[in-house]
Amino acid sequence: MIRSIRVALGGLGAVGTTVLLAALSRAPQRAHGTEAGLLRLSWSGQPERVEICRVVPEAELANLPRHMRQAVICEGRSAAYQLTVVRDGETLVDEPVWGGGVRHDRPVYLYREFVTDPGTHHVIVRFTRVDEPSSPQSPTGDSVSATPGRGRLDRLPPELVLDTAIVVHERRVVLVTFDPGQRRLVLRTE
Amino acid sequence: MPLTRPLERLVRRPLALADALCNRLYGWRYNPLYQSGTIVVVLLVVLIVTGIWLLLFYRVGAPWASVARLTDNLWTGNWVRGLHRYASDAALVATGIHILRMFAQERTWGPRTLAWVSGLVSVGILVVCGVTGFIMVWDTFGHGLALETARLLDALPILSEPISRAFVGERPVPGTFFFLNLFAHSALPLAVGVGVWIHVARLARPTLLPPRALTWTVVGLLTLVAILWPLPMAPEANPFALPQTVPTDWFFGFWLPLSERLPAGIVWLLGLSAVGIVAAVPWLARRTGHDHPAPSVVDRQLCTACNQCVVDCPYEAIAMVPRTGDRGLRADGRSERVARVNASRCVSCGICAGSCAPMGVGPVGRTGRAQLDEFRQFLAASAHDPDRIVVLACDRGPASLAPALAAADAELHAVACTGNLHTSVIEHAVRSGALGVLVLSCPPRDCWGREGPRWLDERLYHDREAELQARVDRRRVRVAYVNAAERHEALTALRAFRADLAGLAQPALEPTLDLDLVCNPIPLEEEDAAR
Repeated sequence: MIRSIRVALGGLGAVGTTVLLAALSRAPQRAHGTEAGLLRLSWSGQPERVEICRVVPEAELANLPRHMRQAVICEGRSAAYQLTVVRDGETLVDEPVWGGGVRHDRPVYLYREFVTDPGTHHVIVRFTRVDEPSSPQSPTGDSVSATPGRGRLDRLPPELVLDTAIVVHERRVVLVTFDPGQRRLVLRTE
Repeated sequence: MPLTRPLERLVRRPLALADALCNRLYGWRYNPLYQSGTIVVVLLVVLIVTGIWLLLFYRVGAPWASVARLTDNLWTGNWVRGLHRYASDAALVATGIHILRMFAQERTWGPRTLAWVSGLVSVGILVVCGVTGFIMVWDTFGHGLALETARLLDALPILSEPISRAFVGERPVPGTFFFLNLFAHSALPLAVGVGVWIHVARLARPTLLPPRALTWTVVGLLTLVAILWPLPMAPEANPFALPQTVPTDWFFGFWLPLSERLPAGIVWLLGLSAVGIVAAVPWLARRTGHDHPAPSVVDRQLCTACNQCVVDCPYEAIAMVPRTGDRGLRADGRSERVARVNASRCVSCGICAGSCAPMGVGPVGRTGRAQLDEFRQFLAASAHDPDRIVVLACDRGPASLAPALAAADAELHAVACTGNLHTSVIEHAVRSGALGVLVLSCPPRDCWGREGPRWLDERLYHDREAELQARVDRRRVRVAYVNAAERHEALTALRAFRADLAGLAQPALEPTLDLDLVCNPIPLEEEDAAR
């Protein structure tokens, strides 16, 4: 091959490869092909602690060492919740939600997304505690009120409901989240 | 047969064709495919230098705004950012070529396992470092990368709190995230540096930089493109917007379109499977039994402790040790030490066979003596045409051109590697009446044993032990560098050599000369006994 042609081809090859490299480092990728928006649910919170208590009968107490005798014994666990999302009368999700961790005693982290057409929609988001404190009868017939665990401000309330109309714009996100200050679900679009 | 052998052959052919094309355009010295590993090192240096400069302008409190301000500055910001980006992409491409090359050349297993695994770890760190770099910008691409990476991490039961929610608009992304990301992006290159150090730890004289002209060409071209085609600034990440298209760096984000459409578990399964297979190559490609090339051995009776094999070994697998308790201990103390091969570091490249004048070292069956025996058999079977040119060709490359060379009236004798080739074989060929000896060697940077062609050249023309003796007419010996796909170049070299030889007188066969004695020195002990 003639040297000048070889040099020209070599130069072209090198420049072409570099330009291809630069082009591939900025080539657009189709991210969201449709006009649809998103209804996004995202919040976290400490689940309520539910305690189930019972009065221990005298006969049972008598069998226990003195230092172990407690008139009322309570067992506690973190509450589970039921998430229900209804959009324009259609149920999008209806499922239980537990706290994180093996024992489900870590905070609840919720993150769901629903593709939603642009326009106005009626949305109901319900997040309800399903572990109701029970009031078992004691063997002696004494009834004891079951009590929720020691509450903290950041614990989720027993029920969160958002029943509202939302406007979804093209390729925009409507976020439903829990506002710990107001202790209710709120909408955010910016 | 190793599982990977068919795949190695499959990769070798297109690679040889690409090499041949680049050799034709740039010459083997500046063939970027041969220099893929060293180009990565140059690009890492470029990344560090440009990265330090960009770091001066980056603000964790306003990531996108600070990068946008930098991008607006055409003189000191934009092109540096472009160069930083393109260098990282080019580093990934060069790494890919380097991996393919090592795989095709079966340089993945045995003593090279450390280099393979450390190289892979370094690539992994480089990719993670690149991803953190794109997230730093906090544009739509960075946001997409962060979201997807977080989704994948959240699928693992290792984090107490899912990190995806940090990027969905529930609250502003905390500054600590950008600080940690910046820290990772700055610290990971140190790990890459350590990885590269381990990668070349078992090599003697590791070549870390390409030829200067190639270095400046690569850096210059990337800089030129960065200046002439400025990198644009993508829109700022907005968790409430769903962009129709995202400007993507396909080298670091090629996996995103697939990953986003699959459940996280499947992505992990696919990713880990791919990484696992590549990481397992040293074990999958390992030659066993009959296939396993034997490491070099030392004939302690022949070793004169000249140290040349120690110097020449490209893998630092040979050392000189005291000759203690050896039945071959010499009374005159001429050789108090003896070479010893560390089999765990020997890749059986056979370079030592060519470096030992008394032919006392080399892989079994490929020592200088074994080469001479083989060559004698070849001569006995050949046609003894007085105009014949003997072609000694590397079995890993140009030996595959045998039919074309035979058609051009050359007698081809394949050798395991021309770097193994003992100069006595060449001398034997010339003295046995061949018109000339053409050594067809792989180009120096393409040698499977790293330094074979380099040492061959020095042994033939620069008196390096074991040098081609002065009594051999150098005009009848020539070396040409061609690869398996360079048929035209091999034939051209052959024709040119034949034309040059035409002016020389017909060589005299030296039947009276005891070629065995000249080319195949007797062991020292036998010599002593004879005295």
